[in-house]
Amino acid sequence: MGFFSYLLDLLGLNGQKVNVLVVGLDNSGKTTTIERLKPKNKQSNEVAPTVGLSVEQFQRGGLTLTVFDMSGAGRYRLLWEQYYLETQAVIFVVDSADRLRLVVAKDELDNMLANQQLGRRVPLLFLANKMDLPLALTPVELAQAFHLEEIRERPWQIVPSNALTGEGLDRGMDWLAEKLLRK
Amino acid sequence: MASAQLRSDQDSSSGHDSATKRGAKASSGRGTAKQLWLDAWADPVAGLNAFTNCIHTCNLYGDGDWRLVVADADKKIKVWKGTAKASEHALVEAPVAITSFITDSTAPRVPTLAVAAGPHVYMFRSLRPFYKFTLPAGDVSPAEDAVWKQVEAGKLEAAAAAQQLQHLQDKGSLQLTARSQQLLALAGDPQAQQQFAADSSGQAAAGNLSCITCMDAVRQAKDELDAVSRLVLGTEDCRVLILNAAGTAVDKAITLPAVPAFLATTGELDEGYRITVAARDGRLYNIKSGALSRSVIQLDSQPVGVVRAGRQIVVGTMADALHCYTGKGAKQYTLYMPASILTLQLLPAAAARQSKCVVVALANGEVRVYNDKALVSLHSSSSPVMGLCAGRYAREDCSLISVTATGALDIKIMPRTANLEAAAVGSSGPPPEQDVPLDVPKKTRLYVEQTQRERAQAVDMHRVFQRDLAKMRLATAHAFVKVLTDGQEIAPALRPSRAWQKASAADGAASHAAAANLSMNVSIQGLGPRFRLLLNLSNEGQELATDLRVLVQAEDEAMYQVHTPHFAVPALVPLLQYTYKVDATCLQPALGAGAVRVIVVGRAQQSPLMTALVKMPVSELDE
Repeated sequence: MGFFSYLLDLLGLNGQKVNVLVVGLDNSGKTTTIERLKPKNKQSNEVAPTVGLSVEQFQRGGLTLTVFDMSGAGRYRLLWEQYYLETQAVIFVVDSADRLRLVVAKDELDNMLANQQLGRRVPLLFLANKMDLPLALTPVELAQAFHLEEIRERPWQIVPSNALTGEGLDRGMDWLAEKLLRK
Repeated sequence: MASAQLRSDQDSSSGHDSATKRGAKASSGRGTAKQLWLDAWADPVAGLNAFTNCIHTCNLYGDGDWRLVVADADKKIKVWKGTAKASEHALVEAPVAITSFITDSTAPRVPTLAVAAGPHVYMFRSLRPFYKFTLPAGDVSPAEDAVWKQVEAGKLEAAAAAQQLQHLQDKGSLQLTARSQQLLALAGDPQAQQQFAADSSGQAAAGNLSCITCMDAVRQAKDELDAVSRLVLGTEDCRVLILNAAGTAVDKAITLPAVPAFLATTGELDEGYRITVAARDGRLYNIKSGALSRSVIQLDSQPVGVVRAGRQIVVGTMADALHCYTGKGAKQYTLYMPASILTLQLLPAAAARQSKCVVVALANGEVRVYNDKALVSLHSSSSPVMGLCAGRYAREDCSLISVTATGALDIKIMPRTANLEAAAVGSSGPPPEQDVPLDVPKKTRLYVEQTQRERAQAVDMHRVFQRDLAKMRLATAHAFVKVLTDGQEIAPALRPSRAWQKASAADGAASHAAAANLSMNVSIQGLGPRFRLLLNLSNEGQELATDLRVLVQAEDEAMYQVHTPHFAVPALVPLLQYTYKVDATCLQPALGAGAVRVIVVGRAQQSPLMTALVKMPVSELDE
């Protein structure tokens, strides 16, 4: 395997290496989303609350993704900003059924966007997760709540998703890959 | 620029406070306190009716998603999950307090919900009825028992029984049972009393059941959110009860001098705990590891809520004041609020920050957060907040749940980056000016030489000063004697107060002529513009004074017209007083007051014997 990837690297077929930061509140489905993005044979169904962070590496759509799965628990959120400098893309996962903590997610998003270390052209992918739940907000409602229209310089996209089934993830990742490859 | 901005804001905030309450010590702090909460959810028509005691959040199902549990006054438990009401459960009685405790350390640690109502604590696990704890029955006094026995035997009318019970109560030595008190409450309605006496026959068997007034939980060994804890109850018969771990029996009972109204606990049962009790007699009692502490805090007014923030006791009173005491009863500070305090609640500290803050709801709708003396957050609600609950809700560590008088539910969440430290709002500690050193000029050589000279020749300097002082006094005395002997003019010109002039009685001026031993006293009558001068002349010498003339003339002729400008005094007999009346009219009252000169001359002398300058009062305008 290592030899093959080395060969592919030489031929330039393995694609560029990209650091992706996955953030969002606790219980929004970040780890589940990443499990679903991984190749089928590497997926695991057991997901426990992440402590600190975990790093995963896999290939997808001509890109080698190094995914930083940040813990969303309140006490670990200050770790996020440690990785802003070296990240090329951000996936912000939102529990679209958790109306109560929408303001908290918005607060954390504002903190992130105000941080100088995050690159100015870093694409932001919002995953409106848990779209299957009956009380889930639509992506349009979420975009309004987050005032996404005020994000001018960074490209962004909001996609409804269901991390349990993997629905919507491909659409989001395709958009992200397109933005990253265009660079 | 920035500091000027800050200053003006400070002024406006403190001005607002001091306008309502003078003498406030640190009413609002000096900082510009803003709201630090995130508005998570508000439901103006939630229809809740609950006070602070009846609002609680807990990990109801042990799933890490903390629910809001409200024991509503309409005899229902209402459970909220996130932004939606999850369920409602009926209660038998109107609830007094709600809390939760964890009975054992086996996982999963599902808390037991406890709802106090009347003499019972209803316990629920996962919202299913689990156990009903009833307060142990006290003894019924024999006298009271006898009255009820007579009633039940039909020998005594209910109204007559009520009179006897009232008589027993008036003696003051015993506490009547709830049954007797209810009967007394029906006074004036004999039929209802009779009906009640018949209906309540079952209560006699239960004995003297007290009522629960307040409830809280205290942890057993560890200070963690899900540590094993026990219930603490305050009862109407002046006791504080600590239940056993399962909540089925009383483990410890502490008797207080008064009925507890609010409880605040801190510490752990095994490590040493403190319970602060705000009682209905307006005092704070402390229970320290199972014994009533001797230090009792007398409050200025009835308490409306008490919390323990670490070692400090913070109590709100009906005198709109927030007092802080140490555990030993020493007062730390008092904050005066601009409106009545409705309720207060402890804001549990987030793990990283050790600050313990107090949330206070006021009658004017404000909700304030104080960190010690510093106001760190302030927001207003449209209707006064009646019930507050601060703590973990949903998955957030620090949220504030408020229930207003109109039944609205409001949930706020503290952002992760919020800084509750007093320094962050800049409202505590010494002002920045204190650190700027004063611009003291340097000690010049002249100053140093002067000081050295003063030190070396202090005695001489003092002596010179004393000599000069004595000389000056002598010169003054010489001048005074000269004035007296030469009969020169003295113009005493007493200026009587206006009220006094209106009374029109008193002396206006006086003069003595030492040479002729005459004295004169002039008083003025009238409010103007017509005045009357009364000249009282007397001869204080031994011999008769003859042939005197008195001249009365205005200083400004245009101002006063004197009707008899001069008259003769043929003789003045010693020791008799002569009164002469001279009328004067003020010609121009608008110009204010002038003066009139009175001169007494003798036939033989060239210079006047005596002169007096009489200052006239301000004249009324002529109508």
